[in-house]
Amino acid sequence: MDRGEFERLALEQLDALHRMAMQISRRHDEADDLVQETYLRALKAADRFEDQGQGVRPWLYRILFNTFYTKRKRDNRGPTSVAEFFNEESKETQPAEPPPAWDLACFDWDHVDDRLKAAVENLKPEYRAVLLLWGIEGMKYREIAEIIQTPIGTVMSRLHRARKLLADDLAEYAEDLGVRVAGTNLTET
Amino acid sequence: MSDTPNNPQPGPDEAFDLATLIRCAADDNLSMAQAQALGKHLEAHPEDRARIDFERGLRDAVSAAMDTGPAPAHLRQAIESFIADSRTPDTVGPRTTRDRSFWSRSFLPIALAAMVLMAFGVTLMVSNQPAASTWNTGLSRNVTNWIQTEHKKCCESKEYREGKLNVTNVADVHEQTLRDLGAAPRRIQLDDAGYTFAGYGQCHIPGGGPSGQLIYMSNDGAGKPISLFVQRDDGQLNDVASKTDCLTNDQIFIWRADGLIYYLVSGPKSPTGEALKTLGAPSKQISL
Repeated sequence: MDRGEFERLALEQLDALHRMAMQISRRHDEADDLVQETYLRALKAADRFEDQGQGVRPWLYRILFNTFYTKRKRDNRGPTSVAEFFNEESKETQPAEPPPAWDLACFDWDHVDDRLKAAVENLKPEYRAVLLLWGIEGMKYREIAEIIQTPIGTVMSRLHRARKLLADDLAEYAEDLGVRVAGTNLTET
Repeated sequence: MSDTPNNPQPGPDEAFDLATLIRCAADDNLSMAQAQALGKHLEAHPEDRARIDFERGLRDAVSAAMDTGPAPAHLRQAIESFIADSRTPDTVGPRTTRDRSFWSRSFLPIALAAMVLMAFGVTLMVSNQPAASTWNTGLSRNVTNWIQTEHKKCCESKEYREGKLNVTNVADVHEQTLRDLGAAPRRIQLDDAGYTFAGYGQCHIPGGGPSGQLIYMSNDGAGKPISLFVQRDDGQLNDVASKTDCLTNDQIFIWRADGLIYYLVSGPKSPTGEALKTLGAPSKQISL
């Protein structure tokens, strides 16, 4: 890949990188610095980049997360590395309960934005990062695992558990709306 | 645990509990063994499809709720300046430490480069502004990126491609798409256009209703695939866009018909004119 093409592809990821930077740093000024530092490092290392079929996006995200957690360590605010943060000992397992089977014709997703946002903000940071890489950036488990340097099994456990927590949070809202289980009739309830 | 579809034999770490299967299905992330297990379960318990729909809806809702919008303009300008600056090493002062923000470099060359870039950028924007009807299509870059990436994965990995395609008999596609999407493409066979049907499988285009992917291989011996993604039309694209026109960036062609949104994706050198005609795409094309 030539330099011009690399720069073009890297610049295309700016919005996505800024979005993630905002989510992990929670501050505008810190997010801006984080993104700038990410591009600085990426451009310096551009000649070492090898496209393995996923484009430049996962590679840039990996630099973003590395930069963030390196700075946290320097500021004595957190663990030493991305791997350390995401692989802190955890007893998480996959949630046993499957997602709800609501009749979604009765459930308006447009009205739960604020509720969902609050629920996501309340997630533990390691859950939130994985959820956002999945939900906003549309990444597969393997891509997420490579970015945060965590086994795929751990990614799946955290992601599925985060989704269950969100579903649980929405359950009360659904009950208030009288949302039924899909396939049931009023006469059956 | 497997991340991509593989052979029918289960891997040593694969999970087969319903909760995991449902969530992985919603993510298009089942191995063949898991897909078979879930398929059997759904035959006996079709009501559990609603659980998959819920997870997909949740994903879209998270995406909508947590999207913070584009990066601020000042940040974009700064990055563009920095990129331009990095091509002309003589204008960059030495960095003394790794912690030194690039703002602490000599300001004037960066400012001058930024002004030049901004003037150039404005000129480009004015000359390249597409027709007004495409500015407000409702089509997000997220969607076009996802579709191109998915098509590319299917081109590059036979294993990935074949793992997705659970319907390989073209005679079954009409019924399966009706079941999956609530509507079926009006034409499925592209033999006259030089492409042979390879298979159909469900997928999940971000931000909309259920969707599927049909893959066709070229008959010219090069075996280049094209993908026809079809998605239930829930009005995601603004009415003015693509109802009678075909939106295109030369590799994706998008139009609406039959209660579906069609996305035909090819590589840069794959001929698609006949395929578009056969599929009934509008002849007038507007660049994205």
